[in-house]
Formats: sequence, structure tokens, C-alpha cells
Amino acid sequence: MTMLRASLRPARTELLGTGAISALVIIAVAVVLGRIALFDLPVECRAPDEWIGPCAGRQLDAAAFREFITAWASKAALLALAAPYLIAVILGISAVGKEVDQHTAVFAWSVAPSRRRWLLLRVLPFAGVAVLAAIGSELLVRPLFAVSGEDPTAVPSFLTIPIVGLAPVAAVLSTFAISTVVGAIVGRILPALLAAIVLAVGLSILVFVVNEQLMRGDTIVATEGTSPYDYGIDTFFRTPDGEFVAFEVVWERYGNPDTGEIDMSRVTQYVRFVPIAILPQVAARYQLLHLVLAFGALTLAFAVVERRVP
Amino acid sequence: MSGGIARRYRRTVPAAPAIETFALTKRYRRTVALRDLSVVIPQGGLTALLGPNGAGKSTLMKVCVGFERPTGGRLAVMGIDPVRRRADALRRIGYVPQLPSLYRDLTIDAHLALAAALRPGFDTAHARSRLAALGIPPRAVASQLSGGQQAQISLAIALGTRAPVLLLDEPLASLDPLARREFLLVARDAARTGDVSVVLSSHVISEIEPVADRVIVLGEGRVLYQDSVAAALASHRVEAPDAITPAMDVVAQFPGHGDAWHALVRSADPGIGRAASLEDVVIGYFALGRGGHAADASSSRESSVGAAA
Repeated sequence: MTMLRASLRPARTELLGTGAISALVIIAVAVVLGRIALFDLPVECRAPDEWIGPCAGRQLDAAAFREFITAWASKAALLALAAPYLIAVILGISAVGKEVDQHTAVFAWSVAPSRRRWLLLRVLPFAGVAVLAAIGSELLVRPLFAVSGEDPTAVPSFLTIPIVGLAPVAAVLSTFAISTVVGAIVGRILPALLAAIVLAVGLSILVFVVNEQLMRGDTIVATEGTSPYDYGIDTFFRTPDGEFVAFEVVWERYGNPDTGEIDMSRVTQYVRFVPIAILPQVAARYQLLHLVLAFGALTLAFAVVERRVP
Repeated sequence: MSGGIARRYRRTVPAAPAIETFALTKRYRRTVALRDLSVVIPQGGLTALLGPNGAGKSTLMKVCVGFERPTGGRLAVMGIDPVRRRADALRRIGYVPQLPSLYRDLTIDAHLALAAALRPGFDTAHARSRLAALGIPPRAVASQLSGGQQAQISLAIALGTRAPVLLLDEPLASLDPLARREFLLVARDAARTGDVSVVLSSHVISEIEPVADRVIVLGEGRVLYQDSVAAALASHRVEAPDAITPAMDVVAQFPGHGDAWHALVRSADPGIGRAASLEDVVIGYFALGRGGHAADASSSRESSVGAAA
């Protein structure tokens, strides 16, 4: 029995649970993909302008297809997206919280001279499993989005940063780290589980908000955007006097209540936006924020474990 | 030449005690678990750490093993401060907690493999041979074993660490009489045949006597008595309370079996009462720790003990 295998044996239940969740997601996605394939509906017939050619007489099939996509494909995608976070929380709590709760930390911490080494032997493989789950989720969701024809990531967007590329991996890692430290502090499985979920969701929202605030420092002001995928922050106007004013002021001064229009010949509209060209940098910053959060939480977990009474 | 000096030097330097505490204090908010505790437990043999519930036995062990941090004072395990160098101190300690802390759904083999993964130098064969001698199957799952067997597994793993100090924190509390004896025999053998210092805390005094080499009695976080068992027995007598004279150095009075009361007297004089058993000595000092008398002692006994104390 290798050292790694021996050190992971105490978390066998959680690892089996992880396997079960993964299997469930794979089966769910496979069933949905299989059902979609059974429709045998050409892509151009899913929402055609005219029911001609290969789409002739396929109205009912197309309606059933759309109904299925709405009812099941979105649910399967949601399940696949959420699964790695669930796995991260379960493994995070298992890393320390469960050991303290069930008093097995007494055994482990009296046998292991170094608690740091003990925690490393648990955290590294668990984090690896969580990362694999995140990558697996991405691999499952991608074909689901592709065949359903409703891929929110098909076009570049700042709003889909959390579900594209390495962002889910970073977010899952931070969820795992937060669960680990919460488990170490609370030392009871159920309260730690609930607290970890609340904290992980809260901090993920915070990371998103912070990233958005940082995006505001990357804005460009111009009379028009560079791409339809730019992220608009706000709109304002320049008056003939050179004054920059908000829409309400412009409406008050230059609006025509009868037509409901503004005399745009007298003002120049400006937009403040984040150009889509910097999407990779913004996404990288989002990932970095999550990784910093993960590193901070894990560092805190090690500090807590060093001082904790088992 | 230098090797010869080093050898002579080694011979002249006394070995560090297995455990040594200096005015060790541990407070939990308003409760004081250890109060300026100073004990020296020399290397080798089996030291019984005795005391009533709340005396501080478990706290002392937890401080030694690095599970608790002292509020004041300091301590050393084989000369190493477990507060500052916990990992170094832990390498010298095998620990059996009060309640078995095994993984419920793991086999004994898996526990041994885990211990080997966590503890460099863990002697799996040694631990396995101890369990085989007790007839505990290595493929058994911990939750399917009795409390006594679980305690034996904890002890076998502690022995497998090959640590020079073995801390056994009230392991007898939940065991049946046969399991207690089996456990004590293993602990005694480790102390006598191995190069191991065993510290065993308990309040089951009668079964400790045949195996203990030294005794430390704690009460309310203080040392009430510490000496070798032989010295303890040689230097105490038990007298009937009615026969106490002002010249006697009475430790305390305590109830015996039945209605009789006894007084523990510090004396080696065979003319005084009868020879004390270890149980008499320990209960006498327990009573001293409670304020000089047992709970149901009459006022006259209280006054005589008070005067003696």
C-alpha cells in the first residue's frame, strides 16, 4: 500500500461519494446528449425561418426539441457545473473538519510528528481531485452547450468568465480551500458544511464584484464601442458648451416630450465601456483572485491545524 | 582521542528525564487544570499518574503531546519542549488517548499502513506482532471490535512508533477487568523489556499496583505525592483513627471497605497499625487533596486530620 493510498483511506467514503457524484453527472449528461441525438433534427431546423427543404414537416420535432432542451439540457448543464463545487466542499470538510468531529484527529496528530505533513498528504490529492472534477465538468458542459444550440459561451462575454476556461478550476480550488479552513475552525461536519457553502458562495460573489470594480479601471470613453461584445459601463453626453452631462440632464434640456426623442444634433453621445479585447486579461485576473483566495484560505487552514486542539 | 572524551562525557551527563515540568500551569477560562505543577518522571519503568476526575492527569498528557498549550511554566519530554518543538517531542512519544480514536470503518491493517505513512520509522511488524499475540485479526474493521481490543490496537500502534516515552491516558476506564489486565501486561512488558518509559494515568488503583514502578498522585492540578511504589509502601502505615496520637504524621483519613475509617500515616514504624497498600496511599492522598478528609468524615475526624495536616 503506497503512502498516498494509506493516507487517503480515511476519506474513502468521501472519495467514493465524489465518484458517485461524478458518475451521476456523466450519466445525466450522456442521457441528455443521447436523447438530443435521437431527435435527429438538423441544426438549421431547430429554429428555422421557413419550414422548407430538410425542415419541411419538422415543426413538431423542433418544438419537442426546444421543450426538451429547456426542460432537461439546462438542468444537466447546471448539474455538471455545480458538481465540482459540491465535490470541493465535501472534500474540503473531509480534509480536517471530519477528522476533528470524529476525534480521529487525536489518532492522526499523535502519530504524525508533523501536522503540516499530515495536512499536505490530504490537501494535495483532494485538491487534485477537485481540479479534475472541474476539468471534467468543463468537458461535459461543452458538448451539451454545443448540441443544444444554446451556448452562452459561444460569443465572448465578460459575464460568462466564471464558466469559461480555467476560471471554474480556480473557483473550485478556492471553494475547496474555504471548506478546508472552515472545517478546521468549526470542527463539526454539518455546521461546517453549511458555513462553507455560505462562505464559498459569498466570497465567489465578492470575487466577481471585485473583478468588475477592477474592470472599471480598464474602461475606454469613446463615441461608440469597438465591438458589440464590449462591456458597457455607462453613457453620458457632451453639450455644445463642452459640459459632460447624464442622460436625464440631456433629456431635460434637449428632449422633445411630444416625440420622445432627443435632438442629437446638439449633443455628442459618449459611452464608457470595457473593450472585449481585454477579456483574456480580465478573465486571468478573475482566476488570479480565486487562486489568491484559495492560497490564503489554505495558509489559514495550515495555521489553524497547527494550533488546534483535536 | 576526541571519541574517548565524547564517550566519557556521555557517561557523565545524566539522561534527561522522560518528562519534567516546571511550575506548569494550564487554565481553561476560570478553571485551573494544572497549578504550578512540577514533576520529574525519570526514564524507564512504568509511572502511574493517579488522581480523581479533574485532577489534571489528562491535561498533563495533552500538554506533553502538544494537544494543549500551557498557560504558564514549561515542560520537557526527553529534554525537548513540546510547545516550541512539537514535532521533535512527538517523535519521542507514543500516545494512547482516553477514548479510542480509531477510524471506525478502517481495518487494523489500514490503521497500521496509515501510521506507517504518517510516522517515519514506524515499526509495522512490531505493532502487528503485538496484535497477533492478542489474537486481533488484522483485517477486522475497528468498529466491529470491542473497547478492549480497540485500546489494544491503540497501544500496539503507540508501541509501533518505537517512541521512548509512552503516554497512556486513562486507557483502562472503559475496559472490562480481563481487558484491563491484558492491557496492563502489555504496558508493563513494554516498560520492562523495551527501552520505554511508560506513563499511565488512571483511577483504577488496585490493578496498577502490580505493574507500576513509580506513582504520582495529582489533585486539583497539583502534585500531592510522588515517589517509587516501593518507597511509598515502605514509608506509610495505616492506623485506626481512634489510635492516632499527636506524634503521628497523619496524611489524611479516608473510609475503608465497610464502615471502618482509616488514617494514612507517614511512617515506616512497623509498630503503627498495618502496612499500607498502594491503594491506601493513593486514596489517603486523594483525601488530602480534597481538603484533608473524605466527604463523609465526622467533625472530630476533620479536626484531627486538620491538626495533622
